[in-house]
Amino acid sequence: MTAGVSAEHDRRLLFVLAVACCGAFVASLLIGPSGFGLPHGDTRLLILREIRLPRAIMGALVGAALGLAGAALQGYLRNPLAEPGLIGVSGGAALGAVLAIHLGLAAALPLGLPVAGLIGASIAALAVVSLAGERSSPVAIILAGVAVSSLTAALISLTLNLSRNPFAAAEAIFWMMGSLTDRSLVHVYLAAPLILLGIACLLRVGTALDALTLGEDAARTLGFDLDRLRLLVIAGVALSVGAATAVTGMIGFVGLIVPHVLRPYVAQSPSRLLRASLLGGALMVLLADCLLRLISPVIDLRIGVLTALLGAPFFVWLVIQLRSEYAP
Amino acid sequence: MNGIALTARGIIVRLKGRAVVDNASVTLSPGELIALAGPNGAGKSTLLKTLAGLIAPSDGEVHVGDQLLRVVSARERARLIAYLPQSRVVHWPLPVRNIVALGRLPHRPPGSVENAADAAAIDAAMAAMDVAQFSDHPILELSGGEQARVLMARALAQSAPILLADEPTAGLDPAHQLQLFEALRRTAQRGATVVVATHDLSLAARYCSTVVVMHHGRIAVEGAPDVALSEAHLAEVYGVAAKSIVVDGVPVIVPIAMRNGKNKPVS
Repeated sequence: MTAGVSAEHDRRLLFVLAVACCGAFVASLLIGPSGFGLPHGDTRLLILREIRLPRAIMGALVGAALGLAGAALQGYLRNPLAEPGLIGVSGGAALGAVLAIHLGLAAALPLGLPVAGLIGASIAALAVVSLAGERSSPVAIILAGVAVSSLTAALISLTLNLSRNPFAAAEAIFWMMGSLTDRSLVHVYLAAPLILLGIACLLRVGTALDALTLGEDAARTLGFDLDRLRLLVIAGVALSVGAATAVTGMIGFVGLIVPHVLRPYVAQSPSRLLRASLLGGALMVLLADCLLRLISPVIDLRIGVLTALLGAPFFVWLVIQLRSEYAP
Repeated sequence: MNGIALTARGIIVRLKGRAVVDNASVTLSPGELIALAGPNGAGKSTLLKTLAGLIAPSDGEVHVGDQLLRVVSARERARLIAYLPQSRVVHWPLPVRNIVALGRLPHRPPGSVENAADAAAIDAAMAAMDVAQFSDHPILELSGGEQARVLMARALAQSAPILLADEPTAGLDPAHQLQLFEALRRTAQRGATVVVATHDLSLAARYCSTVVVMHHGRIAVEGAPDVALSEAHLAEVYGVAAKSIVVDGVPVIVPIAMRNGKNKPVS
């Protein structure tokens, strides 16, 4: 396939994904507690603007962040099993949020919870970078990420364990399951600039990720600064996924699945996968959120639970695929 | 192509306290195909990586043309020096043509699509390495030797005036070994400086104008193949009793026995 054909192919794929995202966004605006359709009565504009619009915007932003961060991390670590939670920022954001709930900050301040989540994500990202060291290899970053994630998981358990207030503990547990419910435009104003900044960082790394297909030595002799690449990837993931998690809680598997599904459609190219995964992630989260609200009169399901329920079987399928690939 | 020389002066590379390259000085001239020979662990790969700018030497300097290599920007360096690593790493099953096209990245702004010059260089490199028929195949579905040819084509597509290749013929069948050296010789004849680390002494003797032999991190001997790869030098550096013969006008170097008496021919 020549470059002209692949560029045309890319445009078509991105166009289809973008149209699907717009459709899912509109569908998200049209779904409410009373089913499908525009809200009725005098409050309908208020409902659209204050309830449904922020929810749809957050869904699109968080999905885009997770899909793109997953694609960028898989390309950078050259590991198809990498996902945004791997470098510890989601765990850090969750710990910050759980502490905010435990200490009563979430109840006392309107943005106490997401701000605490952002602080937690920043500390986790800094911890991973300093633990992995300067000029760190992907393996060092994975190990540092696992260490920080384990520590944040342990501290979350400790916080829940010591919680004297069962309602606060239940709130923290429910928060961690991820949700787009009851997010206001203020949440959007808080998270969107950081998510967009992170996305901007990650969209700059495509060509370097392509070069990295040939290993680090070849990438460096093709003129790429791998220290700058690492900085952009970690900063981009920390900003976008940290801010997303701080506002919506943990929404798993999006960053793992979306790049996988789309990779064959971009001829396995790490750079071409980035924009496709950004749109694919937004689409997956918007659709999951629509599905959730359509079935919610029957079961009160959290979006993180739904993406995990959809994602885990996919993961099993992935393992079986990889198993046959690596069979002796 | 304007020729650019690569000059190393007093290079010392210490890895974990050991001088892997020990005071190596060498001038690599344009238009030449230079073989870098020597036993395992002699320091060939480390010297090549230092020449490629991947390793900063503990002492000594590398000059590319009249510029110090360490002050040349990474992007400019990528246009001057193409490097084929010894380890054949490919992490994603990209189509073969897309792998070869990665060699063109230093020549265009990030995110731009390939132009006619890129396409011509890619096609020429694929033809030279006989991989054009695999163009749309995922590289990881090819055999090891075929993958090696694709990666060599990637380095050729970089069209740099200096080409450093670390054991490019390992795993290749005899016909493609000859084809690869023919391609390297053509590249040198067009004015490039081409250095190839190899254990195939016959191919080195046949195709290379100069052979640099390393031993224990030092440059043991440097010169025309018949001088550098003399039986006396092979005995000293590799520890083998070897015969240098000429068959149909082609030099052939055959190791006969290890010098310590083991592995003597049964006769």
